[in-house]
Amino acid sequence: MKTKRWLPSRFNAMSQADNGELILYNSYTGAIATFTPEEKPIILSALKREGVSGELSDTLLPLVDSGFLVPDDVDEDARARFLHQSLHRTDTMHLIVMPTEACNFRCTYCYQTFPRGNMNPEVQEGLKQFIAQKANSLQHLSISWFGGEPMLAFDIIGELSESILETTAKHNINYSAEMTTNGYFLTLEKFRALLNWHVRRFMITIDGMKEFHDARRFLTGGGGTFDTIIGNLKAIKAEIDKDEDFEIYIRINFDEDNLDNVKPFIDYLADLFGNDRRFQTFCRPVGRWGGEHDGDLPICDHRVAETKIWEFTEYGMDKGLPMSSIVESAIMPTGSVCYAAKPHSFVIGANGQLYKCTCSLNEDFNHVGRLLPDGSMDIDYDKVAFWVTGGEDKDANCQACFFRPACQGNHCPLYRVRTGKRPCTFEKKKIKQVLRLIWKQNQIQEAEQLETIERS
Amino acid sequence: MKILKPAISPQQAAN
Repeated sequence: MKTKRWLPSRFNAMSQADNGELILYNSYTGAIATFTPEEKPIILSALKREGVSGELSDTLLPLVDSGFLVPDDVDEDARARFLHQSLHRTDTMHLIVMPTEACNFRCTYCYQTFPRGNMNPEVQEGLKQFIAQKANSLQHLSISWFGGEPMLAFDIIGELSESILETTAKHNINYSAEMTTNGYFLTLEKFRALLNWHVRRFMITIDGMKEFHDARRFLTGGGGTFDTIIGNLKAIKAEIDKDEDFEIYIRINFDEDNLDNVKPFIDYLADLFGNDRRFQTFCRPVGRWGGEHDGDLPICDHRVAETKIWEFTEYGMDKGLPMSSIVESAIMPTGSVCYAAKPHSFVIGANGQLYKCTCSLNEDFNHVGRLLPDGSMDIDYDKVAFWVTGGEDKDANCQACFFRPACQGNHCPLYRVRTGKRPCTFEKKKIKQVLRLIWKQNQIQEAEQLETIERS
Repeated sequence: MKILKPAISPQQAAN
């Protein structure tokens, strides 16, 4: 009988914790584990290219369950392809809804052109009908409220949410919602209403202290916005029940102009929101995203940007501001596949125009169909195929990459088509650093839990 | 070995 042989998975990555422990991660299973300095040499030996043969010791057996070691007859390429196919399940749907395409801000780096206002009543009706007609086959529905500035159309969000909640409750569908908002209209009263409408995750961008933020994220008439946004967030922190479940990702877009202000700003945020796990940071470099001022933007050199993201993130963690949960979910299997590349995801414009991508709204190849008032969708499947079938299957480098199951070569199909370059994620580029930060965040949370237990 | 994140199946991942 042939001796059983185990090989290290090609989807492994490893890092080292601050206390010398080994951190191991697998992008196909999403498992992350740590090993003591005593276990480390045994583990590293088992993960050598030649693998291990025969019966596995108690130390090595868990490596199989987590996917770090795989039987030598397993086709990991087939695993990755199967994972890709699993995105074609028809019982999940993600809709990015633009209740308005207008915005009260005119941010310097914005790529949008704000061609129209509120969603037409017939499009609203079409959306309600579409979800009602799909309900029988759905198990999971997630809605991202987007725009424009979605809070300009707060009443429409309410009207649509009430209908969606009724439909999803009736059909026992797992429903979740999130919102990308500038935070200007996010008053306490409206925040409470949004929570009732199951909007639980909010991305709100603040680009530094008042003088920095107001110089780049200002009102259409030029007025400042910092004080209003911070005032709203302070009220939410002070007045919303401590046990209420939500996450606010404070996104900080940085470039050469505000680079030196990010840490002082994080200090300021930590004073206001530190040690409340619901307020989290999400740092990203400003890019040339297609706006009219692209040529004037003082964007960071990409090497600086890729380092600073994690430097700022860790700085926040040290001050009591957690890293956004987006980061950890981005390294899970399929976690970095863009919505534009997922078969059951659509962007719905205020006029019923259907898109795949939120960042190329004026490009013909992104106009993939139309939502009709009766709830049907008129879809150009050739255009959809362009977004959904690119990525790993046409890129040999992606096929050989440890991160393949997480992004499938499709983190940003738009970046690939515009630049001809591979759209690797910031997480993948600094995976050792990211794994260390996930370990560190875990340590901080455990210490907090211990403190809570001791107090009670 | 301490597990920070458990392994999940392709079906769970695709939710």
